[in-house]
Amino acid sequence: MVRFVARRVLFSVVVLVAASAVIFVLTRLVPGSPALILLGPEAKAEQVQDLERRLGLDRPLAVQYARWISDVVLHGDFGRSYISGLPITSEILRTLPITVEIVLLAFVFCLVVAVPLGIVSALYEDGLIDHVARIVAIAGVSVPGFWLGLMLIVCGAVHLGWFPPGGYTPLSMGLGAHLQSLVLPAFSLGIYYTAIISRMTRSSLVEVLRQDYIRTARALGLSRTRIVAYALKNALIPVVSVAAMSVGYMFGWAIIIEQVFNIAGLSRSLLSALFQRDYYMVQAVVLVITIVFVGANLAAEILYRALNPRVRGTA
Amino acid sequence: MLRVLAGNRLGLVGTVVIGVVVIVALLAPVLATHDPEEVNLAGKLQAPNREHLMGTDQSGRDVFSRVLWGTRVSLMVGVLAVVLGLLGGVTIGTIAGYYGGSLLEQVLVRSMDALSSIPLLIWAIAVVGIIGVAPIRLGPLEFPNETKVILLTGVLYIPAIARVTHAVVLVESASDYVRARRAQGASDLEIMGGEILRNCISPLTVQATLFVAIGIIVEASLSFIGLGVQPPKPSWGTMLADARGYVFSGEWWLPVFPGLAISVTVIGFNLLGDGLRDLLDPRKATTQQMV
Amino acid sequence: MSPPLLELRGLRVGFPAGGAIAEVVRDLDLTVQAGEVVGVVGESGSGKSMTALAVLRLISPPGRILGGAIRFSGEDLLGLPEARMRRIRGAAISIVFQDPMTSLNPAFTVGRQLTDVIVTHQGVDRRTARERATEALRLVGIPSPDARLRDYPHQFSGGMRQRALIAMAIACRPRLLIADEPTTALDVTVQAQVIHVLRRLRDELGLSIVFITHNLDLVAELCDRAVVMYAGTVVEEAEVATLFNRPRHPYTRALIRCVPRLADASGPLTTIEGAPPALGDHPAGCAFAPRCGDVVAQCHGERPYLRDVEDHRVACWVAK
Repeated sequence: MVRFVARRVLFSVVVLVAASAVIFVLTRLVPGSPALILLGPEAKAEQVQDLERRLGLDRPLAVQYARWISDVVLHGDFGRSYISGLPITSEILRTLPITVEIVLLAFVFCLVVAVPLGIVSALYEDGLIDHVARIVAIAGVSVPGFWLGLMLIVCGAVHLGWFPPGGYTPLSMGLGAHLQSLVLPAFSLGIYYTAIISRMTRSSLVEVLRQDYIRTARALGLSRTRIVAYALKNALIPVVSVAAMSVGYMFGWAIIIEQVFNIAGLSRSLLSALFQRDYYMVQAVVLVITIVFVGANLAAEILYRALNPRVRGTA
Repeated sequence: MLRVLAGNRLGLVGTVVIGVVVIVALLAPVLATHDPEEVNLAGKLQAPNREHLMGTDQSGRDVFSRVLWGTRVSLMVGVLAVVLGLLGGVTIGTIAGYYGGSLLEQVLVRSMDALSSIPLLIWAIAVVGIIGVAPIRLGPLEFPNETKVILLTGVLYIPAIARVTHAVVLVESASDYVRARRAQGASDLEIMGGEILRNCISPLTVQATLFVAIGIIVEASLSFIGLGVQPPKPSWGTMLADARGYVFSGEWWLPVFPGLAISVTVIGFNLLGDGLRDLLDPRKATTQQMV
Repeated sequence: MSPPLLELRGLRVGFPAGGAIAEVVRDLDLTVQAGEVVGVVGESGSGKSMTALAVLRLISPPGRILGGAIRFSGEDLLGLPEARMRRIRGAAISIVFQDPMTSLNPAFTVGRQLTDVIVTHQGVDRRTARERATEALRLVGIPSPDARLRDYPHQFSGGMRQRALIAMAIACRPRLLIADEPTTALDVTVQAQVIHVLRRLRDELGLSIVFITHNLDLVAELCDRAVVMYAGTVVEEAEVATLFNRPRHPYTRALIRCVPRLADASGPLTTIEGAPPALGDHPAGCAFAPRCGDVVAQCHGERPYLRDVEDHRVACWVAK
């Protein structure tokens, strides 16, 4: 098990390094020097060169990359945004928690709804709940989250007035108001994954209930509750793994959802940075999100291994 | 047995829906009541009426016509991205599976692993954002921005398709039929292209259908944040972006119709994919792909 | 005289197929006395496994018990509420299935699965249950049983898994064990171990066993009495020695002839012409008639019932 974890962690690190290099090069691919953008088109050539030298932009690409990545890894320092001059790390630390919170809320909602729904669907296979759940799941996977968000704003905020139409209400303004501002975005974000996880739970449990070892349990007179508990332990293994992965995916879609609800989370950092051609910021945000995503996938793989006694012992 | 039939009733519904969408896409110029890009500021923001079945937007353009034309872009992006994914994924998966146990297989599998562990949606946003939304110019040809979306989404699909193909090919390569063919002197390429590929068709059909659904949502989402289809070209995503500003002022037809169009089309592909899965691939190769 | 331990009378099991009901067990009579080992022989599709499942009411829908009576120590099992039935399963009557590789839950230790059965039926605390579990593993001949409790099924070999399953079945000291082809999926050498275990359990626990198999040799080795099934019904029944020495039903005779003997190592293998009827699709009259060498007109018209012929019970018009 330890060997497996070590291998996967190493692999993830390699992937991250490669990704960081790619995003670094990508941001440098664009024509037009950042110095020129900073100084404006009227700047004189020496001014531009001078600024470039100060910003370290005249060094070879590999050296620039090395400096940047060592700053990130060793000091957690993503450098400064050359648009605003402010340190990027603090900007990210300001916006990241908001996105994290939305994702976490969506995730919790997802688990709380999807898993029981999937279980009930499986236990009462072909029953009314099963059929309704299937239809709702197909809708949940098909309706775009950002449109759902828009519609929810129209209904929930404009017409019913139950929720704020957007924006982020910080905790300092009260827990209730804070949560209220997050309900609609988290819901819009989580629906897709709720649908997927509920179907996955259902099919996994149905499959397990068909197995010979469940027949053995029934034949030996174990109570229905105990049998379901047994089956769940087997059935939830892949579900846990998928749930871990979905956290990673949710981070990506949060970017879009935040735009719908005008929430100043990571999406704000990324998109305005793209718009302003603030490439250091873009690099940083993409890398951060990639780290989260790689981490989520890694967690999923490790969890799957760890929960599965049959493969746990092997390398 | 009953369940397969019931599931396939849904699959049938999906097929009908897709059929309608495809017909709309093909006949959009004929079915549209107005020029989708025709601006008419005097008639802006009209609620649905006899002349404008779905109302007009903030530039006075007919929403109905724009929705109809939007099917073209969505289907094109959805299908082309899948085609790309199939080309790349099947090639990689077949090579990896056929030369199972080799270093080449290891390298390919690891690369696909690596590719699927990065958040491609974010990277698509970053790439398009950095490169810009101007059309790509290659000599005399000009490719609109959607091309970038198609390419990036296609790349998103490659690992999953490669994985499915790899699994099937690995099994098939060890089969007696293949051994016999090799003894007959058939080249590797001939074998790969023949029997082996035939066995991939079922699970890949399911996968491809479901991926079209994903592709449509990705295109709509990217267009929504301005990185997909560029105005004035009609796309459901850009229409929703425009509609955002009117959420509070009660012009409900602006977000409702494009969104419904997306939802219905995607539901169609998902229903068909689900139905096909029940029929062609009850438990095996395809897993639910998330995006 | 005390009632037989298990008594099946006119048992019918079937499932809906194409509008009608296909019967896989047709009017079956079977009796097991306390302390007996009864072998049930038949080929695939003869309905023997369905009979076993029917006794414990484990037939999964759409299959169901269509009629007849099942009595355990005189008590009617078919009329019992499910809760009572659950108390019987694993505690009064147990069953062991064919495939040990898939019959144990891979996510739980063997010990956990064993103790859960004990706790369910005997209501003792975990520690006592563990002691009894260890004892059960010892009874089936698994070495270092207390260490083995902590193992997962994948750490057991096939033969050990089957013995563990037997241990789970007898842990609560049932009166009757139904073994449905327990050795079919195992190597010959491992088969012998399992047979040995079953014999030991019969001797030490006074366990009655219904041993279902298609292997005549095992029946000869282990069983007191043998019951031959064909097409969902019993065709012959006798003590093992009598059955093998003087089989009276044409099917039994043919079966015995089919077993290859080292003595006639040369020459072709004997088979029975034709094939058993398709599931649920039985001709009127005797089901074996189409393949029978001794068939007469009556065989096609009337279905034979079990009658005493000297020391056998045979369902055949021409047996004597």
